[in-house]
Parts: sequence; C-alpha cells; structure tokens
Amino acid sequence: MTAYLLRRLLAAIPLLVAVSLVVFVLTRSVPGDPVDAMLGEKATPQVREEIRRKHGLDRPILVQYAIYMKGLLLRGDLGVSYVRKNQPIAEEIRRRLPATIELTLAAMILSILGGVLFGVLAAVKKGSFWDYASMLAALIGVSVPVFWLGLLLMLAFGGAFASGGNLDPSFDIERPTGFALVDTLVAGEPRMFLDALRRLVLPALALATIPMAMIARITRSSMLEVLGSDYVRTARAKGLDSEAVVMRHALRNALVPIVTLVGLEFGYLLGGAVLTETVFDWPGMGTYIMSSVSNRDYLAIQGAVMMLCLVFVAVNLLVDVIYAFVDPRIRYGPA
Amino acid sequence: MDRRKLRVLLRHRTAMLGLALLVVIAALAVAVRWVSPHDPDEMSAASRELGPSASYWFGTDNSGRDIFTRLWVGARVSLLIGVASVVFSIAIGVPLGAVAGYAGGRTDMLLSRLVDLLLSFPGILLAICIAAAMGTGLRTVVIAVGVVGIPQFARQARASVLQLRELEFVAASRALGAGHARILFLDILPNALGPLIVLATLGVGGAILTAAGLSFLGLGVETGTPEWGAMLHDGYGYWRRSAGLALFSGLAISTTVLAFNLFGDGLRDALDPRSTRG
Amino acid sequence: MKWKLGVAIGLAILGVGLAVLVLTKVFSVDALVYARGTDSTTLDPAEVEYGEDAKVTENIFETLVGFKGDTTGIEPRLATSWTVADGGKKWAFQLRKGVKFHDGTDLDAGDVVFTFDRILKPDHPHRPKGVPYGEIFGFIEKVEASGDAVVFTLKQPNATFLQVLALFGAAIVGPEAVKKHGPGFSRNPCGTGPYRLHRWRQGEKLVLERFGDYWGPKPAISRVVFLPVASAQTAIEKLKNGEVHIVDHVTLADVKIVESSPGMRIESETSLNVCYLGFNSKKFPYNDPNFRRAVALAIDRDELNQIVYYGQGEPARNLVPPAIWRDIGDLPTYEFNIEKAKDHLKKVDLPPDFRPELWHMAFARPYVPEPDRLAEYVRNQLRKIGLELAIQKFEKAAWGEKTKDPDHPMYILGWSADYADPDNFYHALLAGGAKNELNSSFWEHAEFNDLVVRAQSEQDERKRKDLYLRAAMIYREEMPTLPLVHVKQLAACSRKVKYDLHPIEVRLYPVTFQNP
Repeated sequence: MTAYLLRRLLAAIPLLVAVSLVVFVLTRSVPGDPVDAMLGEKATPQVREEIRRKHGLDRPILVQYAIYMKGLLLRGDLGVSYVRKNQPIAEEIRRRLPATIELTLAAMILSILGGVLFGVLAAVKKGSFWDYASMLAALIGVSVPVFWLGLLLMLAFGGAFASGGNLDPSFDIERPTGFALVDTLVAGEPRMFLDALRRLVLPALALATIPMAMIARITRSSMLEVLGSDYVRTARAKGLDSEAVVMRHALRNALVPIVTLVGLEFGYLLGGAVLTETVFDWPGMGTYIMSSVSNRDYLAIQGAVMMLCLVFVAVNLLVDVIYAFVDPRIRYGPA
Repeated sequence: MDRRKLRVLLRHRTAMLGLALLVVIAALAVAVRWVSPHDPDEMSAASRELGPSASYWFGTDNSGRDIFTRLWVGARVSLLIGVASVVFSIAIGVPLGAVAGYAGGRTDMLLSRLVDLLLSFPGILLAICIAAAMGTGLRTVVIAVGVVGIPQFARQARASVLQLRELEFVAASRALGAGHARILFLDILPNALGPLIVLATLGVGGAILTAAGLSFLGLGVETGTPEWGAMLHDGYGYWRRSAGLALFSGLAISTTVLAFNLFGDGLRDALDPRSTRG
Repeated sequence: MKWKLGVAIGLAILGVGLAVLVLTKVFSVDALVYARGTDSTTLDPAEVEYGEDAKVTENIFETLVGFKGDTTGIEPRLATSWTVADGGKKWAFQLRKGVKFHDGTDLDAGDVVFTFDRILKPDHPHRPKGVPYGEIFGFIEKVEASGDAVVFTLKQPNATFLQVLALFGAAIVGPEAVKKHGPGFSRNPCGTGPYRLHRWRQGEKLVLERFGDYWGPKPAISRVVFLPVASAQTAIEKLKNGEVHIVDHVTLADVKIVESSPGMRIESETSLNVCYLGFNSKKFPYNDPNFRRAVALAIDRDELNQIVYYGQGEPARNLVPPAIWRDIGDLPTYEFNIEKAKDHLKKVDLPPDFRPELWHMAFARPYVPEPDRLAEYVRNQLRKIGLELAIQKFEKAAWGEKTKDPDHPMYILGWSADYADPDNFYHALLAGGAKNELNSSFWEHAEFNDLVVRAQSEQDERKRKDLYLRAAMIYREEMPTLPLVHVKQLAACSRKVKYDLHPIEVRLYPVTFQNP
C-alpha cells in the first residue's frame, strides 16, 4: 500500500509542474501592462522601469516561473496584488478558499443525498412516473447553465433566504477557519450560525442540482444492474423482503461507481462555484477570480487559478487513493 | 448510416423531439429578419422594459429593443460559437488521439499525458485563463471553449483506433503496402466515425454552455453583438427590476442545449449501441 | 415500508429546518453599513487615484482646509487660519491645537511638512511607489515648519491653491505610522479623522470605528462597514432587507423604484462630472474638425440621456459642468441634426467602406454606468449618417494603456472634478498637448493653451471668467472631445439614517440613525 501511495504521489509531481506552468504562462500573457495596474496611469517612465526590474518582469518567462514557484513552495508566497496595493495574495486566498470549499462541500453533500434518493426511487419504481420524472429532471439538469439556475432560485426564493453573501456584513467576529458555519459556532453565536446557514441554502442548491442529476442517473443504472444480478435474485428467492434487498444488497454495491463520480464531481463543482458565486455574491474564489480578471490583476488570477487547480489535482489523487483502499485490484494491477 | 441505424434513430421519440427543436431554432435564426417587424438594434426609451405583449412577444430589454427578435439574431452567433468550438476541438483532438492510439509506445504515452494535462483543469477555469489572455472577441471564445473540448475527442479517437487497428481489414491494407497515414485516416478513422459524431452532437451543447459561462463572466464577444450568453449577462444586471431578458435568454440556451442532448442520446442509441446510456 | 416513513420524517425535518431559517432573519443595527461597487485598493491618501478609495480615506484623514458644509467653498480644518504674502506666492497656515493621530501622537507642523515632502520629493524615503496626484501639487515649491505654523512657497501664484489643499491627496498622515509600516501603511492607515480603521478583510469588507480622541464632534455611530457589492440591484435588495443603510452605486434605472418604496429614499446632489466622446486629433479622419462636427450633430444628447441614463443625467454642452460655472455650461452647442451632420461628413474625404472605430472601457464609472449601451447608442446614431461603427471594449488595466495609445480612434471617457473650478477640466484634460497624459485626444491648440495657463495664475475673478469664456469658444469650435452628459450624484438610503451627500467628498461621520 505504501509503495502504491508513493508511486501515485511521484506520478502527480510532473502533472503539478505542468499544470502550474500552463497557468503561469497563460495568465502572464493577459493583455494590459501590469506596471500600469500597479502604479496607476500617472507614473513616470523611470518609476515604471524600476518596478519592472524589481519584480523581475524583464527576465525570461521561465526564470520568472522559477522565481514564482520558489516563493510559493518555500514561503507560501503568491506575490503581492497589483491592484489591492501591498496586499499579499496568499492572504486573500487563505480567506476565500474556505468559503468556496464550504460551498462546494455543502453542494456535494446535497447532491449525493438527493442524487442517491432520486436514483433509488427511479430504479425501484422503474417505468413509473417517478422514474420518468427523475430522468427528465436529470436531462434538463445537464442542459441548464448553472448560473441561470442560481438566478431562477434567487427569483423564486431569494426573498425568503438571502440577498447574497455568506454572513451578515454587520457581524464582527474573528474568522479563524474561514468557514462561516464553523467560525460562528466557535464564536458562540447561534444567531450568526443560523444566518450563515440560511445564506448557504440557495447557492448550495443551485450548485448541487446538476451533479445531483448525474448521480441520480448513475445510481439508477447501477441499481438496475445490481437488481437484475444473480445474487439479488438469490436473496429474493431466500425470502428476504424487497426493502431489505434494495437497502442492504443493491444499494451498497451500486455505491462503488458513485464514489468514482465524486472525484469528477469535485472538479465540476469548483468550476461551477466560480460561475455561481457571482450570482450569490459569495466571497469565495469565484468572485475573486472575476474581480481580478476585470482588474487584470494577473498575479491574483495566477495565484487563484493555480490554487484551485492544485486543489483539484490533490482531490483527484485522494479519490484514487481511497478507491485503491476500497478496491484492492487497483493497488496490485499494472502501473 | 445504414438503413437499420436510420430506422432506430427515426423511431427514437426523444431524439426526434430534439431534432425538431433544432430545426425550429435554426429556422427562426435564419428567418427572423424577415418575420419580425422590429429592428434588433434600434433603441427607444419609450418601449423600455415592457412585459410580453402581442407586438413584443417576449417583451423588451432596457434599451427598448424587442427581446424575441434579438434572441433569434443572437441564435446565429451562439450556434456558430457552439459548432465552431466543436470543430476546433475535433480538428485538434481527433488527430491527437488517433495518432496516439495508432503509434502506441512512447508517442502514445506523450500525447496521452498532454490530454491528461488538459483534464487536470476544471474546464471553465482553463477557458477563463485562455479568454483572459486573448482578450474579448468571437475568435477568443471559440478557441477557449474549443480547447476545453479537446480531451474527450482525443480519448474517443484513441480508444476507437486502438480497437480497430488490430482488425483484419487493417492488416489487409497494410499487406497491400499502404502507408501509415493512409491506413490511419482512410481505413481506420472512417470506421470510427459513429461515436465521434455522437460526441460532436453532445459536444455542441456543452460548448454552448461553456461559452455562455464565459460571456456571463464578461469574457465573451464584442459589445453590441447579440449573443445569448452576453444577453444573459446584460439581463442579469437588472433581473430584479425586469426579469424578461434574463429569463428568455437563459431559456433559449437551455432549450438549445437540451435539444442537442436529446438528439445526441438518440444518435448514440442508433450508432453506438454498445455504450451504456448511463 | 419503513424507509418510506424514514423519508417522510426526513422531509418533515427539512421543512421545519428551512422554516426556522427563513423566520429567524434578524439584522443587527449597531453599525452603519455602506454598500458600494468595489472594495478600496489602498488607504494611503498619497496613493489614492480613484474616488472609490477616497470615500474611505476622507473619513480617516483630514486636510489643512476643507469644504464648507455641503458646498465647495473652503473653511478651516486642521489649519485654523492662514495669511497670504509675496503676491500670492507665500501662504502661512496656523495649525489647530490638541489634534491627535489615531496612534496617540500629537499633530505638529513637522508632520505637515513630512506629508507634503513625501508627495513632492521623488527621492523621499517614504514615498509610495506611485503618487497619482503628485502632478497636481507640482506648483508648490517647498513646505516648511515655523513654530505652530506651516509655510508654503509656490513657484507661481495659483488661484486654485486652497481648493487643491482640500483634496483627499493632501490629507495629513501620521509620520510615526508611515515609518513603522513602510509600504504596509496603505493597509494600516493613521490619520486624525473622526474614524479609524478597525478591520479590513480585503475584498470582503472594511470596518471603521469611532476615534475616541477626535478633536471635533465625535460621530454618533460607533462603527461603519464599507461593503463591496458588485451588483447594484443586489445592493438595493440588501437595502430593502435592512442589511445595508446606504447604497452609493444605485443604478439610474432603479431610482424610481427606490423612490416608490416605503423604507427607502434617494439622496441626490449636483454633478461635478462629465462623460464625453473623444477623438484622436492626430489620426485621420478623427483629426478633421468636420468629421468631429458630423458626429456631434448626429448624436441626440436628450435622447441619449433618456435611453442610456434613464433621464437622470443632464445633457452636457461645454465640458465644464454648469454647477461649477453656469456661464460656461450654458454656452450654445451643436444641436442634433442628421441632415447637417451629413453635410459636414461630405466635406471629409473618407475612403469607401470606411468604418470608424470606437474604444470604450468595460467597467462602469460614475459618469458612465453602462459604457456598452452608450457605445451601442453611438453606433446606432452613426448608422443614420451612413457610418458603421466598430466597437472594442477593454478591461481596467488594459484601458489605461489604450487611452495613451497613439493609434486609438474615438473613445468614451469622462472626468469627475477634484475641485470646483474650470481649471480642473480645461487645463487638466486639454492643455499641454500629448505631454499631458490626461489629454487622450492629443489635441494641441496654442491659443487655448495660453488662455487656460494664464487663467491659472490670474487673481482677478472677472478676468479669469473672461479667459475661460474665450477658451470655451475655441473648444466648441474645434470639438476635440464631444461632451455628452453630466450625471447627478445619487445614493439610495434607508429611512432609518440621516445622510447628506456632498458634491465632492463622502462624509459618513455626520450620519445619524433616526426613526423613520
């Protein structure tokens, strides 16, 4: 097992390097002079040159990349924002990443619960109204832009739940973890906790709908497969009532493909969060990337996209490892 | 497509529904300038933000323009983006995957790693990076969305070629002295078209969604081009006051993507019956 | 059927939970929440370039002289009185006693000298990387302490000196804090103002708290939260909910909605800004005054105001807002006339299939809340005289570069006054040819230049007015830029707060809560 883990980790390193290099080169070619963004439009040419030299912007791009990665790996340093003057980018990302992860996790839990529920319902009542309704919902789910769905939810329920943000602006508490639900509890403020929860409902639901549809489809088809298999028929023949068959035997076996889907889903959710956050004014990575793009704060874009991609690669690695625990065949199979 | 496959497709009710929707959308996109009495660009304060009525079927936007007319003028741009992006993905992805599968060994490993690399990005983030680097415009959107679609075509092409290259007709062709390029592009690929066509159809829907996401974030086409994502972006700016533009442009995107998905699923059942429908 | 029961119970719990969430909506009221479009980029007054940043620094820092009440007249602030000598070249300011900085140190004349040296001397050890407004103070030769007084020596007399001293960029900073934090001063500001920084979670919110040792009347509200809310309509929704009290980026279209809602009202104040269409006067055909006149005649400013500005603006005539000098603002201008426009266009030797180009910014500014729609309106109008406009938009950083690009065509730009004087329009935007970075049309006109330079040091008010009137006539004839609209300053407020707008500053310290 340790050997397998090591092998997987080592294999991930070139991938991480390649991903970071692609992000670096792309974001560095964003149009607009970063020095302009740093100094404003009224700086003198001498000052511009000096800044360019100081930030190494006159060096070859691979050298710039090496300097950047050294800072990131040794000091967790992502540079200083050009637009938010003198602000270390890592500081803002440390604050915003938890907000995005909180939203993503909430959506994930919601999508797994809902998806499995609808999938089982559709499989057990195959051919019924429920079956068709959930399949139709799944089909529509994958055809709708996630931010439009968010908009529809806001239109329908926004008045009841929230007007955006993840916490009331007038709440003034310490934020040790960055997770609104955790921090409000740590601060011993149940009222604020409820406020945070209330604001989480709609964005999480909007983000969860499409993966929920995908999970429902997978659950249904793998349930149908398992329900038709020999041992379930045997179980039925042995006189077990159908509920026990469904819950104990079929569902457990159907869960394996669902677990695989979760890793893929995480990437989808991260991307979806970037789009959905804007609609719900969520103070996470998505709104950060958006404002950085429109400000052409390329170090910020670079840092934010890079961190999200690294999180994504890491989660996929984690899913692989978990999967290897669940299914020993992978561990000992050909590399 | 042989007769049997065509029959399966024609009997596929949801696929035909998808096709019918696509035909209607395309027809409206082509005919709107003759059918509609409204100018898609002319602004007027007097007709601003009206609800749906007999003369403005979907109401008007905040510049007093007919939403219905602009939607179908915009359909051309959006469909063009969807199709062009998929063409871009195919043009790069299929040769990439086909060569990888055919050559095998080191080449395969190298090219597959390249595809893996693209898959290591959440799609929309990659599109955002490319679009931000290239600046706004139609070309940017097509390339940004197209790059995101490359891996799926590359993977499909590779899988098909791997499967087909060991078959007898390939060996026969090789025995007759055909070169690698000839074997790959004239013998193998034509036989791998089915799954690729399915993927392309579904891909147009996906591309329209990604493009809409980019436009929604303000990284889309030039100012004043009616395009669905951009219209949704504009409508999002004032949906609390007047929801018409946001609702109808989102509806247009969703319906079109749904139509491509329905038709694509039907195509899959007809052309590629082995794959599961999930 | 056990599991069905389970599902039913689950759903019931879910329903009750959601109901509890919806019903427990409460908002605290011990802070004033001020919603705006974006967060600050810096809190160091010397580094401030845009009004968005000044909104906060104006509540943390103070200037020697300030704007009186809700006017643009001048009154004492950190200086209690002043005397002028040497024909307007020497100004001595007597400092207020008992003023403390937020870090507890006392204000003295040396601190004022430190503040101005930091802005004026390029080699000052504590000068920030960029001092956007450095240029505007360029006429100051030196600043010296003399006991309790500070003496300014000017290179030449300047009629706008006191106005310039009241600018946010001239705010007095605490030298101890500047030395302690270095560049980090922009995130750890220290001034003498009624509020001081409490907490800044950049990009999320910025919280100020009442400064207990403030020399003047202390603010009634203990905390102020500056909340960036990108979408204006979301901000209005939050206002409706009671989550925020003031929305400073209310959309022009939402004005009527706010006015008709019971818990909200609109505060408005005269506009000291202008939005204009510029022409590159070094590039064909934009260099041809006939082309520029044709465009001017093709645009119906009243209609533009109705369509793009929801009728909330004031059609502009001569660049300088009438609220500054009515005589200039009311001069005649080009009235909309398609036929005349075509006549002028005929005099321009355009190649067949020529497509004029228009560049604009992709982001909103106070004078152009919807640049896209303005560009589209211009395109529609030019279509009527047979020109098909090509439009390109640029994001923030790229835009700064583009306005300086010698190859740029027509462009949409605007200006918000730093002080209420024509000098801040004619000289700041149009003098000095291409050397002036704000002169994006690269327009050079010797006579115009001479008039506005002379007006700067002219002490006689009537003679100044005459010089500006002559400059205005030249501007109208040549039309290097085409003024479009002046936009009112607006804020949507909860009826629970008493808040008055100022034409230039954002002042939150006089705000009080009240019973609606």
